[in-house]
Amino acid sequence: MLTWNLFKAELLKTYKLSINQILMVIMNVMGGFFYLSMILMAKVYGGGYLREAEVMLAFPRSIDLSIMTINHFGVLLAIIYMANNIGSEYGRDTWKMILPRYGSRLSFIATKILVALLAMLTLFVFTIGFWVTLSYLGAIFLHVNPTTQLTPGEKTTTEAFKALTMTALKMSFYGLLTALATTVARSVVGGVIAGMALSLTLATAISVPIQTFVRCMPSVHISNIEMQWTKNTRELEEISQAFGTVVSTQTSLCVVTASILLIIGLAFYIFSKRDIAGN
Amino acid sequence: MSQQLAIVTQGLTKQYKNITAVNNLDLAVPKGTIYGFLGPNGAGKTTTIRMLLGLVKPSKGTLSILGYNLETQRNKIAQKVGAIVETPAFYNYLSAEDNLKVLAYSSNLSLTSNEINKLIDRVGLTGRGKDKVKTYSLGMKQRLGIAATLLSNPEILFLDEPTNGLDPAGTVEMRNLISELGAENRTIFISSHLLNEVEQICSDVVIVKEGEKKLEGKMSSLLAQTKGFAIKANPSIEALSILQQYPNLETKPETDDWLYVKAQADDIPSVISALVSARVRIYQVIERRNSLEELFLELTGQPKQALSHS
Repeated sequence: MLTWNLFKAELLKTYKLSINQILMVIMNVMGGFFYLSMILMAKVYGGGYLREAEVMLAFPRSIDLSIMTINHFGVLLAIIYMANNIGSEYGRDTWKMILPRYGSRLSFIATKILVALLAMLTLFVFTIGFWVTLSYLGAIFLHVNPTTQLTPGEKTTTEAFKALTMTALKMSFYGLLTALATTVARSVVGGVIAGMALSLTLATAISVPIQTFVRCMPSVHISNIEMQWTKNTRELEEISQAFGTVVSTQTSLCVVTASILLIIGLAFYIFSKRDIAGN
Repeated sequence: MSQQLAIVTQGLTKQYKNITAVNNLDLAVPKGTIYGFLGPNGAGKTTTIRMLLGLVKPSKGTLSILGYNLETQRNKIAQKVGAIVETPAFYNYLSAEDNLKVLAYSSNLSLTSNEINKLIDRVGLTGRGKDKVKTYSLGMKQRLGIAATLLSNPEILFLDEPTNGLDPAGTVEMRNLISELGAENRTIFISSHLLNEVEQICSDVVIVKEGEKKLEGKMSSLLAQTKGFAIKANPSIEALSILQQYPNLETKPETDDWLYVKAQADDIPSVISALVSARVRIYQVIERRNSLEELFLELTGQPKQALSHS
């Protein structure tokens, strides 16, 4: 049974773990460095640099950049984060201290995965907030309008939200896959390597010329959901070709949900059955 | 009325591929005892403790803690058990206080800072609670490990080598702490290589070798058995030749002045009388009893050279 106390234990560990703080710093230093360079260039050289800064720093367009960055790094960070979160308990041999303390092993692993997903979400929400605040302050510093109306054809905040939702789905999927890999590998390094290998393999699944195989691949279904939702016809056509037919969003959602449940089920089963025999 | 049992195992076995780490182990640990669990390296002590904590699944056999089946009733046992398995493991990046908080939350307990600090004080870490565990020595981690076991005020403590890494003063303190905890009517299941420590604090003992039980019993009755007598006599050569005439006695010289006589206590008056009649001077007669160390080495087949002459 999940309890608030188990969440508090996991939150305390997560909050104080230096690698999580480092990830937060990296994400924000990246934003800080980018905006500082843009603002300095605009301030020193003016002209085209200033006009470019005015466009990029204005809200809500400024959200795009942070989301784009998260889209690029999200899955990688999810893999590292999840592998470290679960694998470090094996590395430190701390499972032996905590598992005998409670009735169910599953409660520990479930809490750990939930808190890890929550922490990643918090990291990205904080990153977006920080980057948007930086761009807003930068616009004020440059005496340009910090807000703007988006022109027709530009990405809207709804689209940004869709992109963010898809990133969250991908991160959850690959994060859970890494959680499973780490319970098998029982180490951080093993978890990261297996997580990355699996994500790369799944990313190339679309190019396998066996339609039945492609139809079973949750990664292709995630892309299908994304392309259908964002109405990206060109990509959608490629996916339909790989599937051999047009697959509906609902079907893809079912496949992805089933895959996630299977991954969680396997991770729980392995974790509850394997011996914690020490290092 | 039969004594209530805290831990019961029947036919407990753990097989790792071709290696049998624990073989058909039957244990019956009475409640409220300090129970020494001894064996050489690789005897299966830690595997047994891990099985008793539910960390390792037995290949065969049953085990129950406080009358509950570990497999099916873990939730009824968890808060009643505290344990240190091998070297205590902590989150090194957290302070001792935060580590204890994490472990308390993991036991579904919400202890106040005051309660946590009391535990830290009890194990002799006063003033170090806010320091990160990565700055702790092994001995300090052992103490913190004891504090961690006490978070839920458990009825049973499993202590695997609790004096490991402690200096002599720390060892004495730990021994006193364990005795104190035992006096609080807890059952303490302690595995240690320090036989002298075990002899001093344990009321019951079991010795295992290669996963099998070799001896089990009350410490007092095991150590009460007379092994023989040492006699300081002069001239010892004459004493030896006299005693060798008794076919029921096994006599051998130990040093220039000392003879060892394997005899029952009832034989001693006639032995002394015979020596005195032959004008042999008797200076001392000492009863030799089993020491835990001797028993251990004998049962585990360790080299006899390790025995002391005391």
